[in-house]
Amino acid sequence: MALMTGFQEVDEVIGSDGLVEFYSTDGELLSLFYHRVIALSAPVDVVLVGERGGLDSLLLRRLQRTFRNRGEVYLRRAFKAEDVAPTIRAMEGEEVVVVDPYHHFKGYSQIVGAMRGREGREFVFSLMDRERRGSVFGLHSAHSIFKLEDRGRGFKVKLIKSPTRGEVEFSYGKWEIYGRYERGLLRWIH
Amino acid sequence: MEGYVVDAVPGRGFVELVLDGFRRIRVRTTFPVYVVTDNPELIAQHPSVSSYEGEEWRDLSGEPLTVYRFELTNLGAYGYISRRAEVVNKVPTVLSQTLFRLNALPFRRVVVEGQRIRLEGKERLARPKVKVAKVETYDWYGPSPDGDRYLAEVDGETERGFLRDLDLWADVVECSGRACDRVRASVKVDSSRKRSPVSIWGLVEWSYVSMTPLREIAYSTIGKTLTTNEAWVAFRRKVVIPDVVPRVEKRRTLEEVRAADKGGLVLFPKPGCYDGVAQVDFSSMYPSLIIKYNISAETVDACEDLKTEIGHSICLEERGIVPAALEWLVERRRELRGVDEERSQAIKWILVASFGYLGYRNSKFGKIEAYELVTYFARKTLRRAMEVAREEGLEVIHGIVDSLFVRGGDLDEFARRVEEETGMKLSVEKYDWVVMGSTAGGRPHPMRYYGRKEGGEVKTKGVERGNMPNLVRGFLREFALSLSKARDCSEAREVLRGECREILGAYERKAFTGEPLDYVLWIGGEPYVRGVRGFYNARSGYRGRDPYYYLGYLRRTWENLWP
Repeated sequence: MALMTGFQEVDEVIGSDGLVEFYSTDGELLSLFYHRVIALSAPVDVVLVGERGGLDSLLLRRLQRTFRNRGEVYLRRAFKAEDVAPTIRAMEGEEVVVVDPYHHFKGYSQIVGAMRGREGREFVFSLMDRERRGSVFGLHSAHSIFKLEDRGRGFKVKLIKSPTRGEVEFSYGKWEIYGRYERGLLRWIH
Repeated sequence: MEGYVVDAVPGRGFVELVLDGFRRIRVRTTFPVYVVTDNPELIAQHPSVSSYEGEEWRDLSGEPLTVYRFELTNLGAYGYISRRAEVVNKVPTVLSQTLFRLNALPFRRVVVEGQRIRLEGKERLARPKVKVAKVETYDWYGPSPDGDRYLAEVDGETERGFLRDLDLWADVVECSGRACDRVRASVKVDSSRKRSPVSIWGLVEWSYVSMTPLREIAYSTIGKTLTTNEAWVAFRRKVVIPDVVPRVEKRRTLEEVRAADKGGLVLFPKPGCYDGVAQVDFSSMYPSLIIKYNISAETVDACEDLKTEIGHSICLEERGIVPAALEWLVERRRELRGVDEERSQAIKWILVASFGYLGYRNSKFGKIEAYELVTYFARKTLRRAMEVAREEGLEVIHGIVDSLFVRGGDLDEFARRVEEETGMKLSVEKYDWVVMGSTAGGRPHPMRYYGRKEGGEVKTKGVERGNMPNLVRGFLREFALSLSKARDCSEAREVLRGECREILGAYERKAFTGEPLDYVLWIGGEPYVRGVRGFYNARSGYRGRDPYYYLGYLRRTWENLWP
């Protein structure tokens, strides 16, 4: 499967861009979003950066069942900053999802270099406030960059950089991440 | 001059050895620094470099590598060079390497004849004959850096008094707060900066086994001591120890990671009291598995001598660095057991950390696959032991990672078979009765149990916690003492209904009438008291207590004691 978010408008903007970054300061939203992307894009290679956790296997399986995609998820974990660049380079798959590559807030240039050096497409999910921290790193390398913003029951996908489009944002309900297209019983509660 | 090496102070072209009894002697030396460089001449221009030499070493993957050893007359230049060049073999420290070359290893007896040092290596297990002391200052709530009273332990003797009267000297002293200003010692260790769980004699033992001056490991974690031990093995084999070891994990499917990345096996026992139980422990299980299966970063997935179901294989061609380092520590702990419990415990801590450190991201000699292999073999070993127990007619009551609680059947035959089949040593502890605890909701609590050992002592696990108020801890201690009279579960029940209830009553009254110290509880190294307006720091003085909080705490604890 090709890398995709499953949100038609976002996927249309991304098109065939090679290096796409999604960033957010909301860890929960970002995590839900990349679980969806991995579930939809499987079979896919995933690089997980961090000391522990990062991938909820039960949620991933649930989403894969929802999207009827049983493709394999191949995984490599990079536990420390020095592991990130060689791990990204070692990924053989055509398409790679990289989760939180700047987790350690160091070694940016090696990490960006490793991502640029790979052939094939990459979706990068960064848990960081680009306006405050590391704002320029990887910006020149990414073809398109999106910011995810929590909006209570929904969220916004804001296009920050794209070679073909101007600034644009899309709003979705949180339930849509789970593959549902209406609020369901919640509408009767609120 | 002869004596025990307590400390070493580097100087320009010499190292000053501090022997026991504050004696000092200077020995001429240079300090070795290993650098990977294409241009050694450039570094040799530093005024502190007296000479250099190229040596053939190997990297961690076994590839040959030329490393240059620069001899420095002044250790101060080490920082300068390491900032500008790729310095390797930083562990063991340069001072340790220097002392190693000089035969002047910490806490060993040496004879210094002119500029030559001879190691007297006959007393391997005896405590080094140095004066070691611990001094703590106290306030009303317990240990305090600002306290006016002190408690000192010197060579097994305890002294108490007012700080103004303290007059103490020793070769090594662990002290806290103002007490540090009033003692004279060659090496002072400030308790508040310590990051290790061992006593001062434990630190001396760490210094001994890691061949590193006490001053350099006094404030380090267990990890540094362990790494130093491993690094010595690598150093002797001429394997270069880089500063940072980047690791790339094997590409696996999510299911494969889920199957492999697990902890040890823990059963959930049925809560209740059991008569005639035996606890069968695998001695140093994780380190023993590392040694038995040759698990080390460089041996895992290097070849396929031993394949496993979780997808990793182990190479048995060369002894791994980690198992080689652990082997002698396990042996030393076995030898120290019964001879010196304090130092044996210090070694135990290193062994306990050895497994976790394999999976730690900054570990120089570990990697996640090695870590996964250890837990895999641990689960497999415990499962096999459970099968053998059933074959021998034993009932398995509980199992926690490296230990089984069993009863009935032929215990001796079971232990013999398990040792034979797993190749690991077992220790068997018999209990007259054991209570398997439960949570407040009545569900099994695998880490909470207590029971009376043969001989009468009551052992508790997971019952008393470090953050409980002194009042509750005191109650639990008396509770355990009174239960030690019970010979079986029915007697334990009787004691519980009679004597223990009376103890509870006494402590319930104490919740209202106790001393201020009874209400203190320690959280994150700070003493607190629960007052009517909530918790307050005891360091600011005693301002009353909320007796109903302590009463509730006691009753909750009591309710969880018998499932």
